[in-house]
Amino acid sequence: MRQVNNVAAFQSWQDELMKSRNPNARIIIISSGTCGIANGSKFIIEALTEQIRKHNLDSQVSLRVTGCLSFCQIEPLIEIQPESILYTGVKPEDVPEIMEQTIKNKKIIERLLYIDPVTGKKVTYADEIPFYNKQSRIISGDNLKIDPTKIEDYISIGGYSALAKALSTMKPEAIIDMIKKSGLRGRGGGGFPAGVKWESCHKAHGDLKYVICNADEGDPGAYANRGLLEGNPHSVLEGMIIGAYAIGSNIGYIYIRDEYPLAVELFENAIKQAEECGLLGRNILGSGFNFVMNINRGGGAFVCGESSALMASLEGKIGEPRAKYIHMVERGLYDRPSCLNNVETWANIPLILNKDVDWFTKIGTGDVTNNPWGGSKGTKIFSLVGKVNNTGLVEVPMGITLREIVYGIGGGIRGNKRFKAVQTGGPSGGCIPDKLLDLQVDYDRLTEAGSMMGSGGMIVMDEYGCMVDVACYFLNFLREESCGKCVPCREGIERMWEILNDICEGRGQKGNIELLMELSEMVKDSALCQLGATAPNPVLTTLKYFYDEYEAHIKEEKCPAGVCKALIHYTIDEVSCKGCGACVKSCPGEAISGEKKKPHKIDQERCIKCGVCIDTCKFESVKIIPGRHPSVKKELVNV
Amino acid sequence: MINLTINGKAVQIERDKTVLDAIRKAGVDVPTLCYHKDLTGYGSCRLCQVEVTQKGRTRLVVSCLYPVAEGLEVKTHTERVEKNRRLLVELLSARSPDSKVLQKMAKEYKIEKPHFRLKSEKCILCGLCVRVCSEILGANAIGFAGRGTSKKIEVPFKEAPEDCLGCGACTYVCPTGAIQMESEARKRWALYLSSGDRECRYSRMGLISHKVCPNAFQCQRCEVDQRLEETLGTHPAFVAKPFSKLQPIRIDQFQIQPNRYYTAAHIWVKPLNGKFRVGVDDFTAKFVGRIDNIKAERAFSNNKPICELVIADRILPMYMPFSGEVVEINRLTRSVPSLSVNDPYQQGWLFSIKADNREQALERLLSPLKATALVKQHSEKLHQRLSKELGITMTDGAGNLVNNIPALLKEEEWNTLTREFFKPMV
Ligand SMILES: Cc1cc2nc3c(=O)[nH]c(=O)nc-3n(C[C@H](O)[C@H](O)[C@H](O)COP(=O)(O)O)c2cc1C
Repeated sequence: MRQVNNVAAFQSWQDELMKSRNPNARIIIISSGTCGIANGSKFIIEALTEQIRKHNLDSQVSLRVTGCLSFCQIEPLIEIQPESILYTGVKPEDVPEIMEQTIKNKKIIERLLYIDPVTGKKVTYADEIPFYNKQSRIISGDNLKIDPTKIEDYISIGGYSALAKALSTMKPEAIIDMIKKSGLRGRGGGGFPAGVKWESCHKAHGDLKYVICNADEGDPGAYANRGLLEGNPHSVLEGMIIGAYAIGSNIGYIYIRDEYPLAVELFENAIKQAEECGLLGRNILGSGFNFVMNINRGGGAFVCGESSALMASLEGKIGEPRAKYIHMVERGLYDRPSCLNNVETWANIPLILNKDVDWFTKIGTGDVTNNPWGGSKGTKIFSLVGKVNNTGLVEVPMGITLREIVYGIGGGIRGNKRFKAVQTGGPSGGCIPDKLLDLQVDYDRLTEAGSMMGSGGMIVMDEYGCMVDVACYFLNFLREESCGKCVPCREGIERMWEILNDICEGRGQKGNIELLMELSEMVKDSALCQLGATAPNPVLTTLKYFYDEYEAHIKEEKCPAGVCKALIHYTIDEVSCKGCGACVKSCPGEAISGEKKKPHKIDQERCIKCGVCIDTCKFESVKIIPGRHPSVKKELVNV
Repeated sequence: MINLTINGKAVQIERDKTVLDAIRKAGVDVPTLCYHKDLTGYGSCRLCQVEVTQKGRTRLVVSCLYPVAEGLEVKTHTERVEKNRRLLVELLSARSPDSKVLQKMAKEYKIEKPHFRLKSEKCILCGLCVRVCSEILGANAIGFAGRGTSKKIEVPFKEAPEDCLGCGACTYVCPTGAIQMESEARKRWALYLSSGDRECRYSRMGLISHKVCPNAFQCQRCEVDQRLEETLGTHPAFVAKPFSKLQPIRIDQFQIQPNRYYTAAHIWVKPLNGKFRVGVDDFTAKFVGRIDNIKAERAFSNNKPICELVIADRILPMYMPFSGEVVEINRLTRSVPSLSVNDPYQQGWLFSIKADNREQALERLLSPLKATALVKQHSEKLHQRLSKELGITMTDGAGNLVNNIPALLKEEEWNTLTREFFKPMV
């Protein structure tokens, strides 16, 4: 590492580092973010290191341990450069063969190649895989190029040049103007234009201002921020230093949830390195600008991702939101002007400064020339999970259709089932049905559909998903994660959940839907923060797009998707049942009986609908029938 | 003054008031459960919500927190608001069906039976007790624990809190009678107080001079107690306001924090884990206006400065009245020296130090009261020197001290002045 005290010294160091990158070098890249490690990447690294030593290849082959490479499903994965050969599901035992065959003899090992779930064909190179080549990885793509523990790696791909440029050639106002013109909107929540927020904070009165990075990422199933922090921490840090300079802040915080220990470790390391190089701390690059960074670990409450609760938590108070009639940019952390942005928002900043506004605004929807609200620009990283073939982090241009994400990148629905809905925006987002598959994904279209961008969760559901059950699941999450401060959120969400739970458990009644609607309206209107105000979304969207399913549960007393146990029953098809007795043995409730080689029967009283028999039966004779068995009575609610 | 309308009626009110204040001033009744005029607004019950229109934009806000604004049109009983209020009351009634206040409210909203399964919580989590304990008493003996549906009011670690004065203000503000004061409990808590003294709750609050309880804390039977409460017309805590005594003290343009020691050379000192944390006081902060660099020494004594503050080409050596060594430098002020000026008492602390002789060091420190007197004296002197003798305008239009004193002084003047105010003591 080198200490650079001025822009010229930095630039010459950067030139050196850039030149030292050899595009033809033989590098084995191994994805080792949290998901990679969980899948055993550390053992593979060990094996690779040993093999390289054993074959005396230290001078010819190098190993690059990177953060997450986004394709979670095929972890542990390695990519061999310069060809970009991709091996998936690699085990330590495969390593000697990889060395012998691929590294030494340039032969492809077929067995380790990725099989495209759509075509069934094997694919050799990373850029031939639709999951990758249909994305626009302008931010997450860098994860592949760097070892996140090395600041030199980041600098060698152009890192910190945006900071150098900002400090040496740009006035704060010019930077703010640039971010405003870029149309960059917040990637963590409501999609507020970042430049507008910066401008208000810049103009707010006070000698002491804060910039804060929201890395709480509390949405269940979302991990896009983790992917960035673990894969490229310096990009987030650089964005924050630039933002601080533009706003006039000297102190920054990053609030990382405690469940991300690797992200914390890597970010700490990044701060230390940047300080040692003179890119952070006192008198950055000789500009006279001082900036110091602090890391705070969040205790894992979802609500602490909300801006005012996050700041309360940073102050050591309980994580309760407060009314924001006076904005955080004027009175936030310690009552001082504070600018909070999401991890991904910060990571976009260096890119915009380096590539310029025109380049950025070409990506996305709408026109932001005169109005930062006029469209959605740049890319967004989604955590694509659920019933799709390819799950992982996908970075797509704003305006891409849901269909392209689900079918193009995601490879369609697993097991050739039918698509039913996609849930976006985290727990308080909404469910979007198949008729809206051609919806363009941007802030405004998602909101119009009753959902939201949120921080980029995207859960795909197939025909075996019950929409009432889904709404019930999210309301249960929100009920537990509400801070409990205001009445509409604490009591309202709980009662909404109670009603949904009644419906799912077969106690639905006339009037339930009307009461749900009434509660939804009131909670939306009256809740103190956006957790409460958006909590009715899962209910409202499922009611809007899947009203029939609610009616089926309440009036017909059946769960059409076969999920809600109280509203289904199991039977054995007499024709196909061979009477093999496998289900009898597997049933934990001893509910199945029958003579050998004769069709078996299920005792409805004893059946707990666990589904073990379905998994066991080789002849697909166990069927789920929507509706109660005629012998089972409805349980009544006593309100 | 601000002009606004409440249901079409014009109201004039001070700038720093809330819409709820204006509503009350207009004589309009809106229901509240978590509001108390002497406590900060909390906005949890949402009953005081109203529709406000400004610049053609209408929205729903809670009036207890929304600041008044010129030309604001407030509607307190629109259909939408009343519908929301009714459902809120219904939800609360289902939570606490036995509460008298809620029964009354439910009746007003013609709710016969809530649509929800009844619970039997007494506490509605309005937070009044928590706020009175922290904002009025400064005791913080109770707080919220948990979140979501399992949120509740608790004492720290579920043990009798040492900080509880047994004053009973929490029971006084509770709208549902969920917090009850037991004389037994009061007695027990009293024992936890470090003194073990059976001191009367009013003397503990500083409302009357020291008095020992003759009644085993059966306050209802105590004449003094009952008389006080009657004559005050409110809970005595709201009159005594012990917490206000812990607020910063203002002397002209300067502030002194009550909860730490000071030196005559304008450094604050706070004992912390066997060491001392030190920083510059507000007098230093305002005097220098900004700091470009802090040059710290490892060892210091009363004639070897602990550090030098660099302000452009001016240097201000800071002295301690005892000897010791610096064991930790605040990494925030090391990177951002001006933090010591912008936030001298909190984030802008300078060092952790060890005194060579702790007892002696403590003896040489000034109490906040003495520091206040000193700052007063120095403030007047500074005024004398700058305005009268050097002809420098000391304050800006708003009455704040100018923030560039170092730049306004010639080197010689700087040296004389700094020696006068920050001189090493023997
Ligand atoms: C309940 C709740 C949870 C939130 N969680 C997060 C989160 O985990 N990460 C995040 O960046 N923003 C979260 N937000 C949004 C933040 O309040 C805030 O809008 C955002 O961090 C601002 O940054 P941005 O403008 O860059 O998106 C949450 C909001 C709410 C209401």
